[in-house]
Amino acid sequence: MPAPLLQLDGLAKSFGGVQALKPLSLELAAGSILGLVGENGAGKSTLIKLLSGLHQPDSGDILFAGQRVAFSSPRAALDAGIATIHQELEYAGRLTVAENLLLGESWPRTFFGGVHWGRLHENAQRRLSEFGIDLPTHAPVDQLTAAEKQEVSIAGALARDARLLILDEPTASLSAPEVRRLFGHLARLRERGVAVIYVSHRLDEIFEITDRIAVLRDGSLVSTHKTANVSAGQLVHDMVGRPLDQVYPRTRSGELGEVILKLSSMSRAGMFRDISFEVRAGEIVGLGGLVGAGRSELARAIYGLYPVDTGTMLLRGKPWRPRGADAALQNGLIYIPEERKRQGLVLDHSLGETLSVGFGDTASRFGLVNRRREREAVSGALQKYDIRATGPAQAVGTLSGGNQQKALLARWLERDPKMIILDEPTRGVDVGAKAEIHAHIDQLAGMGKAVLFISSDLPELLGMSNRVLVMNRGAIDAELCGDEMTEHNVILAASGLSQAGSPDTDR
Amino acid sequence: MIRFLLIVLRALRARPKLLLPVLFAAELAILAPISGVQFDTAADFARSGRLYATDLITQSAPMIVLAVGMTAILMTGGIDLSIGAMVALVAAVMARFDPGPNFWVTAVPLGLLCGLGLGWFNGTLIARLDVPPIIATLGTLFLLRGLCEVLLGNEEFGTFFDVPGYTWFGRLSGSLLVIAAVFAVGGSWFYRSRLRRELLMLGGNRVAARYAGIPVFRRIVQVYTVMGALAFVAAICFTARNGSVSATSLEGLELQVIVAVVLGGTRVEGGNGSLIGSVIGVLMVAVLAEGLRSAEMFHSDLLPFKIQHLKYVLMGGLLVLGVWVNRRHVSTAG
Repeated sequence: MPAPLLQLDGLAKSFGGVQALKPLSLELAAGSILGLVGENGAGKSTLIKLLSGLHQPDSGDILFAGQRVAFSSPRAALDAGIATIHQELEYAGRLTVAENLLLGESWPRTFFGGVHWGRLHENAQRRLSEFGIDLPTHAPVDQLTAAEKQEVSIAGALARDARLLILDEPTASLSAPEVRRLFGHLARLRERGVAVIYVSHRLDEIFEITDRIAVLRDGSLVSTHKTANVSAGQLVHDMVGRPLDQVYPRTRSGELGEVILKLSSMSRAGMFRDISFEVRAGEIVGLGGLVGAGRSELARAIYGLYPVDTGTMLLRGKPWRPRGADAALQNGLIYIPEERKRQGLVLDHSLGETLSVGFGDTASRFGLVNRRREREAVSGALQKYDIRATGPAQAVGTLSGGNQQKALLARWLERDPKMIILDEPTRGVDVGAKAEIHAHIDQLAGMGKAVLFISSDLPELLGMSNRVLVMNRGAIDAELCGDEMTEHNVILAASGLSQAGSPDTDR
Repeated sequence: MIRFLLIVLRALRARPKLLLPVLFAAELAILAPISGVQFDTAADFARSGRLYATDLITQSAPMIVLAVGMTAILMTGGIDLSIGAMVALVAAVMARFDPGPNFWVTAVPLGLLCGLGLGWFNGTLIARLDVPPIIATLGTLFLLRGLCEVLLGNEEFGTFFDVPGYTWFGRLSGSLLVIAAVFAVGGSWFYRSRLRRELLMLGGNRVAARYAGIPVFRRIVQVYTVMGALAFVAAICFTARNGSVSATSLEGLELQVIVAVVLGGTRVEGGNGSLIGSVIGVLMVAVLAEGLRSAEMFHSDLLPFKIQHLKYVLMGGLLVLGVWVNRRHVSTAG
């Protein structure tokens, strides 16, 4: 057996008094993919930050290619051959693909000293095709999809001869076909002898792409497994330290009430067209499709953030023409947005302030906030939704993703809404919090609320919903219920393949 | 002495909220004696202290009034550079009226309307036309100053003292009443109001505020309109004490108000703000100005240069200090 490419020996790190990473030893061979799993706060990010030079270890050694290394900065790690693709990608949005790819290198010059743009784009194109990536090098990165941006980052990293590639939640904002493409890239990299550390909450991906899996819990390495020899149940058990029900909760009776929301041929140019469906009380309607298929846009139009060109909506039997989100809230319609940090939260506000935004009408008179009632409501919500924090004064930005999401849910649910639209409510949330959010959604439907549930996580979408609508390029392509509700059918419909002879030939 | 300072410093590290009051007390301890407060006997102290406080309060009343509005504006992530000019213009409009008893039913309501309208104009520019606040209000700053000059020319209009009962607003009782009234609304109500929460959220994350059903545009217009009304109140306080207005009155006032508010702990980036802090900030600026004025008058022989010129140096220093302290406070809290 050859010497491992990466060897960690007793690596440890603490912040303040908190031991974020307890002494940890791990090996990784060239040409292999290691899955790194664990709940939020288990130490995955800390480990990645140590490897990518963002933080320096308190003790322990990193041996890379047989040599002891210490990275004083991300630049140093990159120069040594360790490239990290973070969850939030870093790129210069206004610059073109080619410029981003070759940023930080010397650019080809013309005779007069200007940039030789033709050669620059040739170089960029060559690098991209080397990794089997097909992108227009002249396009500004801003205009690319999340998946394409990621491809640029990966190509950029590999172009610098990275021998270890670290991917942090690379599929969080990718749709199923885009994930397939990413996996294609990773398989090719493995053949070239590049080692990959793959961090993800999505266990199905971990099982598919990795060779070995390392499980972190509470800052220590709990176990490492050969992927072929371990079951999902075992892995989840290692992660949470307790067996976890993998089944989606279904405590609701399944009895459906009156129609709460009814859409008839709603269209908005460039976003969605001819959308008709209804959601009943007690029902969870799943809305699947690729990222960019118009699901969120539709949700926001129902919520009153976008006007609609044509079509009508009925909310609880009455015509619904919202002019803003405040009207929606007053009529018992809530929307939990997909990007919680940008669209949902003020990160440096306290948990109490965050929650109380939603209590508004119930806890105030003469425009004054009844602070005693508000405090009670906040602490009640913290308990009811099991939001783990040091107290109402903790800044929401410092909470884990799962707790942020629960806070966002709790904010509006005190208003007793009738219609709830959830947009990717479990994105970037750890396994434990995910199960809790699922249980809450199930309970809400059980209480007779109508739920429209947008998700790119297929098992979750299928497991939670009564029936599933699949959107493709702004239109509803399929409605699946009963036995038709399979991942296969959702993927087919989402990529426009469910109807015979549909002329979808993009890429 | 050094040990005492160390103890104070340690206490402050534990409770950063006390930093501002302690700084203010230190400033008073140094500058009040220069401004003529005597400590020889209790009677002396009472008499001179009363004079000093009266001076301080009547002088800074317009600034306190404006600071209340500016705090709300900074909370939303905005800024208003036009308020100095706005106060001057409202005063100028009122100065063109006859100083008879009719002044109360003609000039005063018109002044209020004028303030509301100008504030609404600012808010509309910023919210509906999406002009960045700093540019929009810089524009109106020049616009309103220009209108002042059109109205007043190079003259000094000094008829306010002839209005029956008007000077009461320039005295201690009047100033205190105005400040108390503004605080009853701006402090007690606003501090506990839902509106304040909405403004804080709006300033912290405008997108999230829109998603949370806060009528963002309407709130922004409202905040600037209220600022206009406060500019009217400040104009009354100012003219009642000063008696006159000219085209260049109150130049630079907006910057002093911003210094005071930022010093008081409000972050310029929006999303947080403290009214009490803003008032202490105003008083700190006023004590500094008063101290330097007195030093110039009574002790100029001790100094090699005109100490009045130090005013802006020290105010600039205070501003930078205030921003720095706020940042440290935030970073330790986060």
